[in-house]
Order: sequence, then C-alpha cells, then structure tokens
Amino acid sequence: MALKSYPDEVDFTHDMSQVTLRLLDLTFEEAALEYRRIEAKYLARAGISNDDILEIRRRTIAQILGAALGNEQTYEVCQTIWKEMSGLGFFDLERKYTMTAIYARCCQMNGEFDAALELVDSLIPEIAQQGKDATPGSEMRAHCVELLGSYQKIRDELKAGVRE
Amino acid sequence: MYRFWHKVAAAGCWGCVTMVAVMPGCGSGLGPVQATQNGGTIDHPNLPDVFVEKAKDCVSEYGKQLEPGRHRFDSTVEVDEERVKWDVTIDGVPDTAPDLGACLRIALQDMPIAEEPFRQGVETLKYRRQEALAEQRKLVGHPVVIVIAGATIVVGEVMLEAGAYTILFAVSVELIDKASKDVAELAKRGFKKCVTLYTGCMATGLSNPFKGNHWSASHCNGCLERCQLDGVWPAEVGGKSCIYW
Repeated sequence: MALKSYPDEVDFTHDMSQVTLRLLDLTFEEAALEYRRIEAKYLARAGISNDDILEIRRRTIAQILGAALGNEQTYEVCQTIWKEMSGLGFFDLERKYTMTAIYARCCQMNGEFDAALELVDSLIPEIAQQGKDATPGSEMRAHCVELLGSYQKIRDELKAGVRE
Repeated sequence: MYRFWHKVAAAGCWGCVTMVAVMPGCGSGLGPVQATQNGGTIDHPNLPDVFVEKAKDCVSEYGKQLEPGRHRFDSTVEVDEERVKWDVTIDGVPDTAPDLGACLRIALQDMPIAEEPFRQGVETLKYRRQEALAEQRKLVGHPVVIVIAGATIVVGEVMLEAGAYTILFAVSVELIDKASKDVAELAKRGFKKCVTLYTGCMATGLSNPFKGNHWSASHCNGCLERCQLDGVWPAEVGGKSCIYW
C-alpha cells in the first residue's frame, strides 16, 4: 500500500490542508476543483493499492462536503455529494457519524428537515449503543459521547424547523 | 505554506529533507528581513515581538511573491471578551502572493494581545452596553435591537524591509460584543470563524497528520469538522483537546 508510507501520507494531508486553509478565498466550485486535482494526482501514483484508492476518494469527498456546507450550497449539490460519499462507504463509525451529521446540516441549511431528521433519528440509538459498548476511556467512547450531543442538538433544531 | 512543514519536520528526522528545501539562503526566499516599529506609546503600542518575528519569517520566505517596491497591508483582528479570535482579514495582499497572505494570517491568529488594552476594551464594552440598556428602558413597549459598536484596542504598524522590498503592515485589533447585534452576524460567519481557527490550529503541533482522528488527517481537521457541526470550535474531539492557543 504505497500511499500509506510515511511521506506519502504526510504529502496528501498537507496538500488537502492547503486547500482547506484557503477556503475563505475560494468559491465552492474552485475548492472542489482543487480537491479533485489533488485526488487525481494521488490516484495517478504508481503502485497504489485498492485500499489507498478508496481512502483517497473518501477523504476527497469528505472535504468537498465540508466546503459545500461552508459555502451554503443547494440541497441538490449536497445530495449529489452525499450519494457519492454513501457509495464509497466510510472508513470507520466515527467517519460515518461525523459525515452524516455534516450532510444533515446541509439538508437543514436548505430547509430539507424531513430528509435530515430521518438520518439523524436513525443514528442516535446506534451512536448511544456504540458509546456504551466502547471501552471506557477509549477514543471511540469519547467520539460517541461528543457526537451524541451534536446529534441531539441537530434533531431538536430540525424538529423545531430551525434553518441555520 | 511551509510553516506546517516546519512543525512536522521538527518532529521527525525525515523532515531534514524538507528543511533543506525551505532554509534561508537556499535561493528561494528573500533572506534577512529588518523590522522597524515607531510605536511604544500608550496610544500607539509596539506590536508583540513574537508576532513581528513571525511576520519577518513570512516575508523572508514568501516575499518574492510580491513585485519589488513598496506595499501596504491593512489587517484587522476581531476578538471577543473570551479572547477567541473570530476573524482575521488582511487587505492589500495581491493575488500573486497567496502563501504570504496565509502565513501572515496565521501570524495574526497567533498574536498575543496585551493585558492592559484588552482590559480597557472590556471596560469600554461594558460601559456601552449599560448605556444601550438605559436607552432601551426609555423605549419600553417598542422593540429595539441593542447595537454596541466594537472597541478598537490595539493599533500598530511595523515596517518590514528586505532588499528592494518594503512592506508597511498595519494591524488593528477590535474587541467585539458577542451579546449584541453581532450574534446574528457571527452566526452567518460561523464557517469563517471555523476556518480561521483551523488556520491557527494548523500552525501548531496539532497539525501533525499522525494525530488525526482518521487516516491521513490532522487533528485540526477533526476539530474543523466538529466546529462546522456545532457552530463552535470544540474543546475536544475524540477526547483530545482542540484548544491550541
């Protein structure tokens, strides 16, 4: 798995962060293009494994979703990104819960409360259970506790019809 | 923006290669930069040395992105009473110098604010708030929005010179009132606030990609995502602190 070598991993993270640092100066379209350019650069590297390809794609689409939320993109744009993201699956449960919540915020921002509520409501019991099952003091436990609070807040806002 | 690399390079021997690429004197930067301040009075204090040194580093490393000659940058830092920096803007940096702009933005984000002007600013805000409340009481029955102007607490300038380049960098720090009309404005600027804090985070050890919450991400990225979710920069993500200041 070539990309998981120390310098390649750092290179990729560094390149992605350089776009994120400039998000305030870029339009959503520009940011998405920059992230895609980096994705293409690393996907083109020789000897890359299937695992690495999948992770590069996941990381890229995650950054694009964040940029869409920040730049107040339409529901259709968010939905297109979400479809791609769901198709790729998630690296772990923390990624699944965090990305789902960011997408829910995109829906909320566009007044699509029911779509967001369906997702959020379905995951709250799962996150609570995962938190209970996780080893006390573990990172996963901390993520679940933190994210459960975020999910409950989002759910309350959605039910109240609060549009961010 | 190789400040990130400085931090990472310090943590591992492989960074030696990176350091060679950015060391002054290798031909890529401007070389030594001289800084001059004319302040030092109560009304016009000098900017903190640590900030000036960082600004010098930025110009030394990225100054060549500018055309030779004289330049003026005007910057504003908005800070609240909890010392959280909500916004950092720099006017005058041309599009040809994105790395210089990003580097200076980080320097401003990290700039300490002296205790005394900060305390005076808090007092000014309290006074304005009391005045506004008194005005509101006169208008009982009429809905009003209390508007409290921010208090400018630091104004300073530093002249940065290297060879044919001269940059006058003006800095203004404004204490803003979260409790007044700024709330709505700040909410709209939530994303801006998150990215601004992310920028500050990336200048610290938390930017190390091996301390991220998932493969190939810095812990700062995890903090940014959570900030987008909750609208506030988190204290912790996955039990690890996001408080870098």
